[in-house]
This record gives sequence, structure tokens and C-alpha cells, in this order.
Amino acid sequence: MEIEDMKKAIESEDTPVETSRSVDELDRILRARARLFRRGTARRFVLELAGAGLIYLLVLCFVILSGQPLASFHVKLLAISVAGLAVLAAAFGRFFVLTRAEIMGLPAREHLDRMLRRQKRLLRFYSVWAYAFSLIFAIVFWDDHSFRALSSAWKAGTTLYLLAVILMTKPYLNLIYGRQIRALEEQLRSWDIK
Amino acid sequence: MEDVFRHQGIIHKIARLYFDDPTEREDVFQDILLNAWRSYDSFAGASAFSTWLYKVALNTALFRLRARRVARRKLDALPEAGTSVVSTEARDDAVLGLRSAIGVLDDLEKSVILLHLEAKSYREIAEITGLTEGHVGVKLNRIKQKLKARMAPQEESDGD
Repeated sequence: MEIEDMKKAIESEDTPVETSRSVDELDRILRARARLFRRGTARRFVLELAGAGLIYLLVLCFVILSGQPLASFHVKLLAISVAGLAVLAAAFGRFFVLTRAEIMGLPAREHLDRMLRRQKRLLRFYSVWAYAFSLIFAIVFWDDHSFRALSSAWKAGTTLYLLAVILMTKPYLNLIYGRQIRALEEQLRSWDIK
Repeated sequence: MEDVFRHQGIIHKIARLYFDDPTEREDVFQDILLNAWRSYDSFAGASAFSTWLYKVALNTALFRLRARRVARRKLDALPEAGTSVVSTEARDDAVLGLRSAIGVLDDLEKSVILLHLEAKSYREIAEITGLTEGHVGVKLNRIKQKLKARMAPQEESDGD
């Protein structure tokens, strides 16, 4: 079959029934899909923030369990946590909601390339964020006189916990986003002329 | 929405090209619709609306294919759907054979041949896929050879 015959064969194929959707129907589908998208995005945010919020919750447990008068320390901790999570939420919001829409109308190869670069940039940001906030937590802990007054076991435990957060950041990101990045790289490679 | 209404065939063609399962096609149709609406501001009017919609549709389909492959790797089994299964909507033998042959092409080759069959120029295909016009020509020649090679045994067996 020659290419011209292929064109004719494709043209002769029956037009599927679903192509005849009215404007109203398309509008209804769009609204329903947008609702679904908002819900999905919100769920994703909650999951991402829950992961990051776990750090704060564990520290909160530590504050409560220590039985020490750590009220002022707790307030500092809460302020840092809220600020940290807000920065993270803004970065993820920008990536998942805005970035994707901005690059959707680009030629496919450029779209894949930009998507890959932005996804990698987001991961770098996430790593830096985790390291920076672990460091800030450490500084706040050791700068606080009530924390310094705690027993050595508590202080060692806290330091080990922050160290674990730093060490686990990269494997965690690889687990969650590594596959997506590899799939993107693979797709982009297939776009190259061999 | 009026523009999308006039060109909704493009969305169906891309959905049919990459997905065999009717439910998944409907899902991708809705995703493309949503992405076209969300990214409408990026349509500068420099090219035809249909060209822009092809880009949005193709990028959305690629995104979904990627997500599916990631999910499949997690399951670490099951053959990949949508690459060799023939659409039940294709009734004519010639179309059936052609769709079957196109089904085994990779993502890029599928989009290039679809656009070519849609009588798009090399320049338009290059604009949608992001390849250069020269690369489009090279790709098309290879795709045609692949399709001929794949369809030749079918035609021979049909002639027997």
C-alpha cells in the first residue's frame, strides 16, 4: 500500500460518533474535568505537605514527651514549619498548576525538554529546601536555652533525627520522582533522530 | 470553546492514535480539553488554531503515556497496551492493516505519520513535533519503509 492509498484509507474510515459533541456538552465535560483536576491537585498537595509536615509532628512529639517547659521553643518551631511548608507549597503549586499550562502549547520536543528541566529544578529545590530547613531547625534547637538544658540523650536523639532527614531526602526524592524523570528522559531520547 | 468545537476531530485522532481502550480515550479527550482551556493564553495566534491544538493534544497524550509507563514499571509486568492492539472501530481491511502497522511505531513516529496522513506540510509537522523540517523528511522516509515492510506480508497473504 502506497502512502497516498494510506491517506485514502484513513479518510474513508468512519467518523466516530463521539466527534459530534456540541459546545454545551464540551463545556459540561470541561467543567467536570476541571473539578476533578482541582480535587486531584489538592490531594497531591495534601500528600506532599503531609510528608513534609511529618518532620514537624515528630518534633512536636519530642517537645511534648520531653516534659520540659518548652513553650517558647515550640512557638519558634511552629513559625519555621509554617514558613517552610508555605514555601514548598508555592513551589509545587507553581510547578503542577502553572508550569504545565504554560508549556502545554509548545512543540512536543521542546515541551519534553522544558518539562524535564523544570522537574529536575523542582527536585533540586526540594533537596535544598530539606537541607536548609534541617539546618535552620538545628540552629534554632541549639540556640534555645531550654533545649540546651535538656539531657544529652534528648539532644543526641534530636541531632540524629535531623541527620536522618538529611540522609533520607535524596532516596525519598528518587523513590517518588525518579521514575517520572527517567520516563521523561526516555521519551525525549526517542525524539532524537538516530 | 467554539474553536475547540470546530477542531474536536484533532483531539479524537490523537486519542485514537495512542490509546485503544475507549475509557482511556475518553479520559485523554477530557484531559486535552482541560489543557487546551488552561493553556489557551499561550495561543498567540502566530500559527493556526489547529496547529496549536495538535501540540496541546500531542503533549497531553505523551504525558499520559509516560504516566502509564511509570505505573506499569511499578507493577513490573503486563505488556504495554496501545502499541499493537488493533482498534475495533477500524472496519475496513486496509484501515485495519494500516492501523495495526502504525500501532507498532514509537510515539514520535506515530505522531509524524498521523500528521502526514492529515496532509500537513513538513513545516507544520516540524512546528508541532519540534523536529526540524529535514528531520521530518528523514523520519517520514523511515516510517514509510517500516510501514511497507510491515504491510507487505499482510497484502501477500490477502492475495493468496
